[in-house]
Amino acid sequence: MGFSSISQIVTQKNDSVVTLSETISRKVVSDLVRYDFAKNIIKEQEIRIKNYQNKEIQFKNQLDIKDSIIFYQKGMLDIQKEIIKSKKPLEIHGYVGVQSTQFTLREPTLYTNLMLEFTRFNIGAQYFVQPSNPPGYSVVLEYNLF
Amino acid sequence: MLLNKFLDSLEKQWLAIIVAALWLFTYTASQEKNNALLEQTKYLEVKVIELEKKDHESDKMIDSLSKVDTVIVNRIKTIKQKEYVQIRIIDSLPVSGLQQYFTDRYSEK
Repeated sequence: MGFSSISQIVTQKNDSVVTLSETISRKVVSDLVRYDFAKNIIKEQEIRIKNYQNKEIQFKNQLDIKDSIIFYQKGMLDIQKEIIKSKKPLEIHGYVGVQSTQFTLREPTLYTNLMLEFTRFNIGAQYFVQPSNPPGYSVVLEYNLF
Repeated sequence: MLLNKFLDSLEKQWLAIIVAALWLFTYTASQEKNNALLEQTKYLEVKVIELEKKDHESDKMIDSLSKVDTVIVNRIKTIKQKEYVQIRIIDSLPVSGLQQYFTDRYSEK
């Protein structure tokens, strides 16, 4: 194979002429082709990056949506709890206690209560004894203020 | 006469009347409160359904973006294959072909 060369002669005056060997010119052409394809790949990669950015935005939106769903579901749970609490069935409680007459130890009243307790009010019966009085009973009615 | 009897019976049953009134009052109050709470629950349910729809749409969007990514990756693979073929062609190109390449690439318009 003989030595062949490629000359690029530019029409401009006073311009130098560069002579390339076949091997070098083949390498130059290969590099130029790689460069052209690399530009195309960069374009595709840029599209890919934009796609990733859009995906990231979508993921962030989805995260916000899921947070909102959790927030509203928590609200629903709180309401359900409140409904359950307000529908609390009646409870029966028994109490025993001592009641003084003013702030003295004279004539204390020993009593026992049996109460039916609803959400807002209680009703029950009281039996009481006092040292110098006969025992007695009464009805107790209470409204739950707070 | 009848009214007097009725009032007498009311006087005798004062405790039952008080208990019944109290029960009725608390019952209606709690019912009203429950109705308001149920309304709030319905509102929240609607909100959650709307958000779930949005979430589903977002899922679809992410899926389609993932598909687009696969398409781009395939396009890059094709470009690389074409590049490989071109390089192979250059290796077997005659000198006149190389000259033509330079002429085409740097032709003055």
